[in-house]
Amino acid sequence: MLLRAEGISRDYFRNGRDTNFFTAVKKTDLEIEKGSCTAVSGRSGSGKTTLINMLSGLLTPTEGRVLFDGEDIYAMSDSTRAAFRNRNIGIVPQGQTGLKSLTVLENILLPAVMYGNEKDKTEKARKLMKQLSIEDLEDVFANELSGGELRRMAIIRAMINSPRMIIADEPTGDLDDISTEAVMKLFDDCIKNGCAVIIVTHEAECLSLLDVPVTTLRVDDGVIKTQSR
Amino acid sequence: MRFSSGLALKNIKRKPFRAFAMAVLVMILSFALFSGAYVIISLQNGLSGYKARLGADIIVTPNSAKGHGTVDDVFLQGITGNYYMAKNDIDKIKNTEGIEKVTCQFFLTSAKASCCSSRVQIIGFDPETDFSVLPWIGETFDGTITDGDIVIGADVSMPADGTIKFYGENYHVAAQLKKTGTGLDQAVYTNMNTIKKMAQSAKALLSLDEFKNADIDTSASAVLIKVRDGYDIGAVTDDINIHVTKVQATSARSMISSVSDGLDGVSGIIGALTAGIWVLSAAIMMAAFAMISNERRKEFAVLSVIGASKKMIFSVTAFEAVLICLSGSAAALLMAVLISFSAAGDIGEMLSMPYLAPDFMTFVIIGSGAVLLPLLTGVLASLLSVLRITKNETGMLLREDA
Ligand SMILES: Nc1ncnc2c1ncn2[C@@H]1O[C@H](COP(=O)(O)OP(=O)(O)O)[C@@H](O)[C@H]1O
Ligand SMILES: [Mg+2]
Repeated sequence: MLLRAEGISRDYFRNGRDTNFFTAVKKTDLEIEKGSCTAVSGRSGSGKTTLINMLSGLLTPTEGRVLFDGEDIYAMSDSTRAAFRNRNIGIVPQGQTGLKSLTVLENILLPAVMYGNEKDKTEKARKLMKQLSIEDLEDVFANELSGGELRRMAIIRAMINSPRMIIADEPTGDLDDISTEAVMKLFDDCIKNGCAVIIVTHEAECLSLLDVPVTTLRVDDGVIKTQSR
Repeated sequence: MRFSSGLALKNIKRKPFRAFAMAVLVMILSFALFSGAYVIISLQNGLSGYKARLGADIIVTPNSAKGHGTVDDVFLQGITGNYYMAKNDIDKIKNTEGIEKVTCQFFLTSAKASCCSSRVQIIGFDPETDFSVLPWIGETFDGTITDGDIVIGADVSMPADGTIKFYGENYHVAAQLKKTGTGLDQAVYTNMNTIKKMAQSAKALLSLDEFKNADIDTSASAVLIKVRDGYDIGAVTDDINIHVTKVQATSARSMISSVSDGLDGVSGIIGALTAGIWVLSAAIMMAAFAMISNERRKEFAVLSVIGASKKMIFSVTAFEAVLICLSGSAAALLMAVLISFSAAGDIGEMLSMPYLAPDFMTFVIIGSGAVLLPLLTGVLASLLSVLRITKNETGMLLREDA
C-alpha cells in the first residue's frame, strides 16, 4: 500500500445557519496502490480539491491521518514534509502556477534544483517538453505563456523528480484534444512505471484514453463513494 | 543555498523597479543614520577638543576687545583681533586673591602672509608660565620652541620651505598642532620674545591704531588664570571685574557652557531628525516588504507545492533583502563620503560650533552601524511578512487568485 488515508475529514470556517464551520470533506478512508490510477470526479464545489490537497500534504485534515509508505505525513516537521513532498509527490495544482521570474525550463527544473539534484534532468525535461509540444518555449518566461502552455509546463514540473505519486487537479481543463491525448499518454507511461496517479476531472472521456484500469472516486457534497470500472 | 541565491537574483532581475525602489528607501535610511551620527559625534569631538585646549578657568581681556574678535571669537571661530592691556592692569589682575597659575598671551593679526590666503591670528605665549599652549604642542612636538620658531595650527597649510614670512621676516615652522576642531586650528603660535619682535616690525611697517597707545614690551592681549583649589571661580571672576577697570574677565566654564548648551540643542535636533527619519523609513520598509510579500502569496504557495520548506522560502526573500539593503547602504555611504570630503569644515562653520571629524575607527563604526541597522530591519521585515503568509497552509494559499 503506497498511501492510506485513515478517517480524514476537513472543515472550513464559514458562518452557516447553526454552525460556524462547514465540512467540505466528510470522514472517509482511502487506499492508493503503487502503479494505480485513480480518477476523482464530482460537481464543482463538491470537495475534490480539498480531498486531494489533504492527500498531497498541502492541507491538514481536521481529523484523521494520511500515511505515505506507513509514515504519517502531517506528523513530520515542515522541512521534512517539504523535502518528502519534493521527492515523492508530484503535484499539478488547480489554477496557474508558473513562477514569473523563471523561464519554462527553469520552472520545470526548479524541483530538482531546489535540493541540488538537477544532474541529467535537463535532458529529461527536453524530452517531456517535446512530448507535450512545448519544446520551443524553453527560454520563454512563464508570464508570456497561454493557460494551456502553463498547464503543460506544470505537468512536466510535477514529473521531473520521478515521484512515486502524481496528483493532478483538473490537468486537462484548459487543453485541446491533441494536448489532452499527449498528457494522458504521459500519465499512462508513469503508471506503467509504477507511479500512482490521481487525476481530478469531470471529463470522463479523457479517462478512456488511458490504457490502465481506473478506480473512480465520486465526490458528492463531501461524501466519497468508490466505483471500480 | 545555491537555490535561494539563484532564485533571489532572478527575482530581482525580473522585477528591477521593485528592487530599485527598495534600495532607494534603504539608501535614505542608511544616509540619515550615518550623517546624523557623524555630525553629532563631530560636534561632541569639537567640544571636548575645545575644553581640553582652553586649559584655563578664567580668561581676561581688555574691554576694547568687545566687537573686535573677543577670546570666544578667536578661540572658537578663528576670527582675528588685536587688543592690548597695559602692564598695571595686568599686575592688578595677577594680584587678585585665589589665583594658582597665571599666564599672558599676546595676539597679533598678520597682514597678508606668504602662506595664507586669509589673515591669520598669531598667538604669543610665555613659555615660563604657560599652561595652555605648551601641553598641546607637547602632543606633537617634543623639542623646545626657541626664539624665531613658530608652531602652526592644523588648518594652516604647511609651507614647502618650512618658513612663513610675517612683516618682512621669515620664521621657521617647528611643529604643526593636532586638530581641535576650533578656531585655534587656524592660528599660529610663538613665544613672547618672537611675537614682540613681530609686533615691533608691524608697528614700524604699518601705523596700526592699536599700537599707538600700547607699550608692546609690557602689554598683553589676554590673561589666562587657573584658580587655586578651594576658591570659587565665579567669585574670583567677579573680583577681577569689580577691582580692575577696563578689563573683562570671563569664566571658561561659561564660555564652554554657552557652546555646550548650543551643542546640546543642535545635537538634540539632529538626533531627533535622525530618529524620526529612521522610524519613518523603518516603518515604510516594513510596509513595503509586507506589500511585496502579499503580492507574492501565490508564488510562495507554488514554491511550497514543489517542495520548498518555510525556511527555504524565507531564505529566498532574505537573500533578496540582503542584496537590496547592501546596495542601498553602499550607495548611501559613497554619497556620505563624497559629501563629507567636499563639505567637512563647512558644517562646523554653518553651525558656528567647534567641529572635529571623527577618527578612522569611529568612521568605520558609524559606517557599519549605518549598514547593519537597515540590513537587520530589511531582513526582519521580510522574515515577518513571510511568516505572516506561510502561517497559512499551502492548500489555502493556492485557492487565492493572484
Ligand atoms: N477556504 C475556504 N473557506 C471556506 N470554504 C471553503 C474554502 N475552500 C473551499 N471551501 C468550500 O469547500 C467546498 C469544497 O471546495 P473544493 O474542495 O474546492 O471543491 P471542488 O474542488 O470539488 O470544486 C466548497 O463548497 C467551497 O466553497
Ligand atoms: Mg477544485
